[in-house]
Amino acid sequence: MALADIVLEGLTLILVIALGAVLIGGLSYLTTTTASANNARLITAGTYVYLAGPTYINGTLYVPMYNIGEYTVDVKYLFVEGLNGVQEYATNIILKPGQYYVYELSIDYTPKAVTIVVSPTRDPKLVLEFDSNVSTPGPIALTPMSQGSSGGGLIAVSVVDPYNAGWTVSWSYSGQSYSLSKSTSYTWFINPPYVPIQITFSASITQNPTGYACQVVPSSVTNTYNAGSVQAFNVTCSIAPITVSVSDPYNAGWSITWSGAASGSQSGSSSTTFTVQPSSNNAVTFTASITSTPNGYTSCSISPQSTTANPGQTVTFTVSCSGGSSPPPGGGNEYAYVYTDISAPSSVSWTVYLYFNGQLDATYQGSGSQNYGPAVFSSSGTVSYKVSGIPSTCSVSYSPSQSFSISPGNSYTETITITCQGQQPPPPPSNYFCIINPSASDNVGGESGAYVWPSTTQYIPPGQSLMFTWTAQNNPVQYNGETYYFNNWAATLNGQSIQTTSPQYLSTSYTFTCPSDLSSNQTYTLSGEAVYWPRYLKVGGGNTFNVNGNGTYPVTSQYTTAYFYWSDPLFQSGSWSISYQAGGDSFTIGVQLNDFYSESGTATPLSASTTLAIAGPTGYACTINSISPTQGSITSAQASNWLPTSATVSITCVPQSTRNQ
Amino acid sequence: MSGGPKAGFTLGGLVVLGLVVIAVALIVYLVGDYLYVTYETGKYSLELSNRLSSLSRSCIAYIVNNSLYFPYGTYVEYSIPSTVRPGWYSTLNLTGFKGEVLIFTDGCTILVKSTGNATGFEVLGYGSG
Repeated sequence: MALADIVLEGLTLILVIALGAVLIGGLSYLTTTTASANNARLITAGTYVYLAGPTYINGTLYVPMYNIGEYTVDVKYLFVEGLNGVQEYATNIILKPGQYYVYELSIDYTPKAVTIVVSPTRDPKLVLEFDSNVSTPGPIALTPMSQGSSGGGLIAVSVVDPYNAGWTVSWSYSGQSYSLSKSTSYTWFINPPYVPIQITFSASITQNPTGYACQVVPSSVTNTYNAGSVQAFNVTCSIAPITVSVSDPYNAGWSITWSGAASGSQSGSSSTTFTVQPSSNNAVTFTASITSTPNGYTSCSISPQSTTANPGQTVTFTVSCSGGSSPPPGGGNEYAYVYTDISAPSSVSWTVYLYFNGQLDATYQGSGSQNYGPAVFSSSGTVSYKVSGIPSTCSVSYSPSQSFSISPGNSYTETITITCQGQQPPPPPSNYFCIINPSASDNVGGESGAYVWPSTTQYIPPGQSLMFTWTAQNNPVQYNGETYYFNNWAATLNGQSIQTTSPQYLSTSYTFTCPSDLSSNQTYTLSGEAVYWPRYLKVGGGNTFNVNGNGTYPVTSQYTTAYFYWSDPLFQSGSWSISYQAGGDSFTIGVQLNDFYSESGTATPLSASTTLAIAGPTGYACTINSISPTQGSITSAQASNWLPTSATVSITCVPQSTRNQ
Repeated sequence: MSGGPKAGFTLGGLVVLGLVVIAVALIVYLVGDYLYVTYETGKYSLELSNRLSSLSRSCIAYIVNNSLYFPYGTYVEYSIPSTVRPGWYSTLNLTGFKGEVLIFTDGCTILVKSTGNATGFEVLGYGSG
């Protein structure tokens, strides 16, 4: 018995422990899952991102997000609902509690509503959505074009900097000064307290690109500006010259030739300094040699004998002579210095000889415009010049004269100008460019005031980009006695259509990128046309619906001569409807069109209607049984001969005598 | 026979007692956590409701004497173009505004336009959250 009791008690204990373990396990599992669910419930209740008035203005959708919840959230996606469906944008914005952020999105369609998808960072598995409708006020005119003189207005300032040189523009008005520095092309607007206003601009270069010497044109300008005025600055750069300095205290004869990005030579027998103008931003190789040894010396040398230099650098050659007893000529004496500036088209090469008292003293050889000198003389005499090697179509002028007297202690500058017929103006310095000729036009006889910025021919180096912006100033406009409304910008590059940003806004832009592998200059014609449409919805034709008896007839031109025609700029949506009475003998077709101008309150919606009487065979009276469908939508912005052809009219005709009984 | 039940603890009784204690503790935790979360979510809900009500009231604005008057006050986050400093406003002077200005308050977005006539300004667009 005792053994049986123990066994029974043991089995009971094991059973109880097993049951208890199952209970505890179940409870633990329940606790874990419930705690997780509770946590998610808590986080969900404490997560809220407030969309503080999403607004769509001027092609930009502003979505202000304000985290008024208790938890940090990750705004993962933004869904924008437009007329043509829903677009998804990945945002990935982290918003801490209390943080406010305006997400900006450039879109070219009109949004209706936005939805954001957020996940609390404490529980990324949770996904919550918050949505809001989008307000669409009228577009903000970034450049007010028709401000009265009593109000202020924006003034556009534009710097075209295809070389990416560093520049700064400062301006002042009403005792206040401002400045802006960048190293790229840039356009900005300033908002003075009133217009017209006198503003003083000054511009300067802060950093030259390697090998270039740049300037801003104009460097200073004071003008009176109105709302919509444009002040333009152009950064122009030329290849920086290489300065060559020859130190020749022995008056030994020397000759220096150079090749590479510039080619030419110069010889002389005294210390001098001259500049070499490279034609491209590449190295120039100089080679120096001694041509004669002065009396009293057995040999002379020049060092270095060969060297290379890049644009903007200085090269120094030093002549030394040995074997003589006399010391090198020292300073203290007075000298006459003669500088020679040669101006010629870059494609013309020339040789200039400088004579002193009839003896050849220096030879300058090169092409384009170069500056030489000074040639140094220790005694009085006559300097004269001779130019050779130029094409026969070129002429030479000398300033002050071809021959003049010099005396020690003075400095002289001779300017030799070589002018050639039929010579094109020199292209900007570089190997090759994309040459863009921008233009702006409209289809309303210039009434739109369309312009493009920049407006002048642009030289864009390979691999670089430049943005062109077209703006139409006036909308609507009167043309040929009719009111036209802006519809879109049509832009072409060399005749091929190109897509600009937001072409359905008065201001649109296009960024041109010059190919990086140019092998010659490429010329492009970049045209933008502001396309205006007349805005009307009219009904033409007759007012009968002609049938030949009982039947069901579609509303087509086979049975009526009535038709609708319209032109609706910035069309958004349209609808048609048919009203009738069963048993009646006429029905009315109505059309309404909504566009940007009606939606924004600029103009009233277009609507038109016509009533068509049923005309049956002679001697019959026809009535309408039913019409189906009685409404539909319109998707085209222009139509010339439109009818609601999907609608069918069921008609019963009875002999006139029968009806009269 | 041992003569009736024995007084004192047995091993089985101790184990059962332990299991009962653990089970009760888990159940108390479960219920307590549920009640706590219910209380907290209710509190959050009330706070959010108050916050939303406050935000919508901060969107009420009138134009008075060329100023934007917020009867309940509002916090301006920023504006386009940048003409308004961030801060709490009950009256926003519009005299320096030229053209159209988009004002982002923490409750809504207001588009103000200078009309250039005697009335001075008008609220063109008004987006609330």
